[in-house]
Amino acid sequence: MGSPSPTAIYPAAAVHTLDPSRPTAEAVAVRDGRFLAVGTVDDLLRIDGATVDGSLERSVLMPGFVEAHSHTMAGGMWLHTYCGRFDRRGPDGHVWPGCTDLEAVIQRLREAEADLSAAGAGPDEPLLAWGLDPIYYPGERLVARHLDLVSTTRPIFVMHASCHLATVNTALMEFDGIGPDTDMEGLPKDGSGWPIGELQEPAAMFLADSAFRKFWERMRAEESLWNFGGKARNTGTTTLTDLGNRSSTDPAEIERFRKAVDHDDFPARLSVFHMPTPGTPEALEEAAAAVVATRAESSDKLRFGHVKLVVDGSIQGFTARLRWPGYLKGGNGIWVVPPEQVADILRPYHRAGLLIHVHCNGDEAVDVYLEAVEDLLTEHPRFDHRHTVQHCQLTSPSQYRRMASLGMCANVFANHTWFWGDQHASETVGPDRAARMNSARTALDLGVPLSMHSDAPVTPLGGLHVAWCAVNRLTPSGTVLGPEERISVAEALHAITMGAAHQLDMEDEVGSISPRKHADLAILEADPFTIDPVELRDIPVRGTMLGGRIFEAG
Amino acid sequence: MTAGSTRLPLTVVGGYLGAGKTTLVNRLLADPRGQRIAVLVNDFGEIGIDEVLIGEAADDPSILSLANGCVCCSLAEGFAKTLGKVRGMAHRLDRVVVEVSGVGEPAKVARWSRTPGFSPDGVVVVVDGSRIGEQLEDRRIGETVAAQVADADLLLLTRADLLDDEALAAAEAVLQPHSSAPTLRAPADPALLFGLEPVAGGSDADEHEPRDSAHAEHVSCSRVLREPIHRDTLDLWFQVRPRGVVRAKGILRMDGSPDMRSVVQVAGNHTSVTTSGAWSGDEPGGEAGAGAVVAIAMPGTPRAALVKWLGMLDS
Ligand SMILES: Nc1nc2c(ncn2[C@@H]2O[C@H](COP(=O)(O)OP(=O)(O)OP(=O)(O)O)[C@@H](O)[C@H]2O)c(=O)[nH]1
Ligand SMILES: [Mg+2]
Ligand SMILES: [Zn+2]
Ligand SMILES: [Zn+2]
Repeated sequence: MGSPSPTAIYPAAAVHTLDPSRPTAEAVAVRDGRFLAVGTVDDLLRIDGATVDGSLERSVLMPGFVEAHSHTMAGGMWLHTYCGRFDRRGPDGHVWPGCTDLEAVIQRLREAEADLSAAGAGPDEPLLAWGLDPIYYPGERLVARHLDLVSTTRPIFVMHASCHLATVNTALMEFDGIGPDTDMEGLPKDGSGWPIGELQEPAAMFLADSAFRKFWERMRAEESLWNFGGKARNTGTTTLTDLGNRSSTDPAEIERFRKAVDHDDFPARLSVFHMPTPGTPEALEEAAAAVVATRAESSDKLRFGHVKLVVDGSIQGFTARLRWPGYLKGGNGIWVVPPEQVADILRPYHRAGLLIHVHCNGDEAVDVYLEAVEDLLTEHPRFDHRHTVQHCQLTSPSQYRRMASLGMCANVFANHTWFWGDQHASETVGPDRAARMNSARTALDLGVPLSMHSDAPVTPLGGLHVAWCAVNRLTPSGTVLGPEERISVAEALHAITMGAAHQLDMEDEVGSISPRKHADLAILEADPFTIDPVELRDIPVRGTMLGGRIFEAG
Repeated sequence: MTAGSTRLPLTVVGGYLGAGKTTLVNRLLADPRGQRIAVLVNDFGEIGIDEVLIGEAADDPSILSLANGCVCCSLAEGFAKTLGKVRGMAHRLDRVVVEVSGVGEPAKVARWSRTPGFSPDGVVVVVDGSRIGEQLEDRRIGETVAAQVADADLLLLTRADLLDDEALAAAEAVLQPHSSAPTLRAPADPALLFGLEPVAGGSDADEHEPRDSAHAEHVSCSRVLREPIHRDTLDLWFQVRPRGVVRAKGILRMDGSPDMRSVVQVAGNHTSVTTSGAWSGDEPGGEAGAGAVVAIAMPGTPRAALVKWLGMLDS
């Protein structure tokens, strides 16, 4: 027998294991990329061949955060210029200040234009931007005239945060032949018959063919995945998800993920969920078998084989399906799949033993999903399936109770309270229902396993921000939205580590600092358990450890 | 961008889950009347597109499979890519038909037909005659179905074979508050839903030979034009179309742009005029003429009404 592999002992300012058997420790010992033990430094030094590594001694260690609902697009967006309302940190660590007014948007684009030109981009190379959210600039409207202040020669395409709208400049319209003769719904015109530069919905965006396609093509560039990893490292996240990929059984797609994620330098694990396409029972059966087969392609860092379906739209887009009384302004949202087809689509995946997550923002969508799960479990009982309601924003106590009985989990969109809480109170559902949204307290009290998410790029990736939202429920206007639904710091930190790991069926591998699990850490500069909870989201992240290797934040 | 090249007519087929959309499209593919047809099946949400099937009459009956994006908004890219591909094959196609998903919004999909390379050819919404009453009342899907019906230029009532006259009349009655589009009963002649080409030559108001005995009752009529048409005349003509007109199409010269081929479309409630390249002289009606129009109407429509209506363009 040879001597055991080297063991590194990392003493820290504090270690919070999220493992109730040993919640805190002085240090962690790492061997072969896994946690070997936690304890006092003295205890750990008794391990044969162990040496102390002092590099983390001033940091606070937690299990690496697990993001159970994100999209790889969150990396690709950074290949375009950010012009959102809130400060946002890029994968390289650069903080892009939020654009508080349209003037700031124009200024941001001017700088980006100068950078493009300085980098030698040809005159037709479009300037692509993302993240603009007009909901924050009431009474103002970004149009071509504004973008012409940035450039009268280079095409400019600004995708709004909703992805349902884009604004372009006159140079782009000239380039793509968009003019008074272009007759199209979703292409508003001014008094003299000229398009104002707003392209509403994808069909109108397609008029800006080259820029529109380039915008999406870049999402699949290799750099896009690496940016996603960079975002993880900067936020203490060690396990990511791509929640809904229609091509996840395609060998080329699998290879694309492998090439990046399995690279030693890629700083995160990634679970890629398959997004099924409705079809005949035979086609679905075949598709489920293909998803089962992809499980064999999994590695320590890359996971395949779970399933994600989308049932309704979004609340801020007025497209989520709500029960009575619907939206303040009346009407209801849209179905993305026919409600009576949900069980049929999920059946083969459920029968094949796969884990299913379903996007349900509105409470009517939740009903549809719960009915489907009830039917499927009656037909084909399963233990410990962990089928999860994603977003779960307007779920009622009785629905949570039913979820608990059915063995289901909730992944709550906690970040909404900050990003749209004020708008939910004033525009979408009114103050009473807004105060009940993303009710993490109710979920926990009724025994539903809980996780919370960012849905990056919809909101920025980052477990501490998500936890901060659930703990404080503050909105930008300074309101505490639904104080009764706040949860404790410990509960919130559990949700973004063990809670999420449970829903990804990875709790045996990640989510706590426990012997045998992957040595994945969030390395923090302050202690989330002792800091004023209002400052949770401001805790600096020094980086992560993934499988025993330290990745410093950019 | 597309001046000089032809625009492919794009027909949207919508309707709730299981209404009979694919059945209709398959009928068209089985009897394409010499047309080369690309069919796009939009299976997922409003904007995902899965595959392109090319009708039998195509030079190359290949099936293009398309990888899709992942998140809902990136599905639009899939559609854009597909349409880009179809546009690239325009020279070996005559029309495009898009089957929308069972919860999709047909009018939203129809917007794509106004992008370069395509021309709008109407929205056909397929309705299950045996279920439409309960569907419109349904708490969950009622609004979705009503919105689809409201998007229709033409309605097609399926399962007519299973319904008695009373039930059929009842189905038509529940549709009425939601749409003024002409309602056809399945199985309908694909030409009613997807249009006929105006024929070359022919006398004034020449009646077509019925091509399919099952549909012999439909009334159709065509007319060759002598003079370019004024836009105002056309707009008036659109407005005064006789009840029962399901389809009309003209390839003609407008007096404002006599050197261009103008394509005039009526599909139930939908009307449009688009230009499609330069006037070549090979158009129906001959070199000296100003083009031709053809119209089809529901059974029972007086032929005289059609004759008079088409005559308006040539007076
Ligand atoms: N009896 C009868 N059956 C029909 C008719 N039209 C369609 N069907 C049947 O209805 C079922 C559904 O038809 P499809 O054409 O697949 O319906 P669809 O609208 O394409 O369905 P989705 O794409 O799933 O929304 C099939 O079994 C058809 O054979 C009809 O006019 N009469
Ligand atoms: Mg179908
Ligand atoms: Zn979602
Ligand atoms: Zn999402």
